[in-house]
Amino acid sequence: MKQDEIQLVAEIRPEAEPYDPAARAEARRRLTRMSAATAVGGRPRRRVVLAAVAGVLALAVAATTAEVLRDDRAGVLAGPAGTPPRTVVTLEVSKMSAEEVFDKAAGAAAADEPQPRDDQFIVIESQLMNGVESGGGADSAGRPRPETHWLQRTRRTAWQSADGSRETVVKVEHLDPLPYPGWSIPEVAKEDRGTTEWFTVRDCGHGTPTHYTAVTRLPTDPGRMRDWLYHGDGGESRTDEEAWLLVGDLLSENYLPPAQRAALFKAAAGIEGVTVMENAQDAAGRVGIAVGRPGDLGLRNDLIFDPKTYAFLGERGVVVDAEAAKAPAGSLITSTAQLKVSVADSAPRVGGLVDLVARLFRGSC
Amino acid sequence: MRPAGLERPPSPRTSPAAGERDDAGDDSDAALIERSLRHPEVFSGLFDRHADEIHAYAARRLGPDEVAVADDVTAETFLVAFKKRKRYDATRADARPWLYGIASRLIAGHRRTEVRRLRALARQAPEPDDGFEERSAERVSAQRLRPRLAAALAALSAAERNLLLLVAWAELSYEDAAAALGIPIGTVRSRLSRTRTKIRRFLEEA
Repeated sequence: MKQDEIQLVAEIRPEAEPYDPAARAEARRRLTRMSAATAVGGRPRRRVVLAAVAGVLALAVAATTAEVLRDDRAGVLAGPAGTPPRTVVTLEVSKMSAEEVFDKAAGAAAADEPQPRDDQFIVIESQLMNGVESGGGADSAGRPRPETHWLQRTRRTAWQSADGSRETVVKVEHLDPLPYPGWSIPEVAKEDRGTTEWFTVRDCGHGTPTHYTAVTRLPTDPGRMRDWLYHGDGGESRTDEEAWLLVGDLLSENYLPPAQRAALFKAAAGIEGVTVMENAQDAAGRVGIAVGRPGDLGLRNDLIFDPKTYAFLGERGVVVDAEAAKAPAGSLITSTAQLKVSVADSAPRVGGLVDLVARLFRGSC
Repeated sequence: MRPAGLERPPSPRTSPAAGERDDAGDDSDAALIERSLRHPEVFSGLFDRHADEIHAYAARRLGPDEVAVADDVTAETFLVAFKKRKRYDATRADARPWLYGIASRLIAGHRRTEVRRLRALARQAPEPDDGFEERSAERVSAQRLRPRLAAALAALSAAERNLLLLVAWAELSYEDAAAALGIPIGTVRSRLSRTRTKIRRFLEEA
């Protein structure tokens, strides 16, 4: 029988050490947590990274927020900025039109805009609440897995390289979860409370622009911004729903300079079907005025603005069609809050294997 | 774009075939990964299917003293896969080559651990022939050559070792190994041929 070197090597294949069930369970949990953190706010595409925003308001709010954050109890965000929003919402129609709100938002004065150098980072702090589902289907042996739902709450900090030359570093701190409408909180959701995760994200330029040098290239003219919202760079045609969600994507865990922000708000005012509601809460419990439209799967997707300064506060998703959403009308399913935008000279170093992975896949776009 | 977190995953299947996988059908890895784009949490199904196999591969390469590293490599393999799932080639029903490729790059990052382990194996005395009749002559000779083979493996480049062990230990076909490492099939053949020559010379010098 012919025997080659590959066969010889195959013959000395060592026995594999068994996979310790505890290590296996922990590995699975890490994966589940990451996928849960990705199932955000209802926009699977680049919604991965969520909730923060840019804006005038973020900056104005920063000073007061900083005070509140020092009230941390047991390391979990507490106080007004950390108060979860009410998860049953009454929609109160406003007398203002969407055009009026967006006009004021476009004209909102900025106290201090970050102007990072190429080698610096824009640091975006935000808070998020999103529906998470786990289980369901069957495991590899065909046994049904129980389905669970809960509302995950996290506080996030993202360090975005200004010129895009380095990966975005994201820190996720888990806050107390809330029950998903009609479900009790599973034990697995409680285990995350108080834990912190780090990961890195590479923006390959295919999705919503995130780096400072990329967002400064977006249109500053409302008409051209509208074209970009509906057709992008490649002429792909988007629906009103998609264009509206893209507006939220540009504002969430992202920074837009004032000129692009003003153009975006004026362009957004022209999207069909947008209405205004009063007394909307963001993920940090702050109350503002909500501009939104009903979207797929029975959710109304709102952008929330400060009622005095018209700075962007955050987003929310409220059930308006119980049948489509499979949750009672008025249930708050997703919610974000932008807390602070600042500039830093460096991002935290993410150590160990996460760093190894980042190095291995650098330039893998 | 559709809001996530609302749609329920498919109901548990109750047919007798629920545990079986039809690579061409909706239960393929490719279909699962596709589904995970809108429902990220279903990606854990890929872990359930393949974590044990990936762990066994990492544990074989890194050795019994470094099981914790194999644990980390396995966990990290699926985290990396999750992050890269948007670029998964949906025409490949079976995701194992892709996962092996990710795991191989991670293991290559622990080159020193692996080489140290192979050198330790190389220092061990050959196993005595215990005379089991069912052992083939080939197997006996391979076992006798074990220390020398381990030294040869330690002397290979990381790229050569990655490819050779995907074929010899993970039992991937040449096509799958090419997909795993992102190299053309022609490169697989030429690299394996070169690797075989290196090992042969190593054994001849013994």
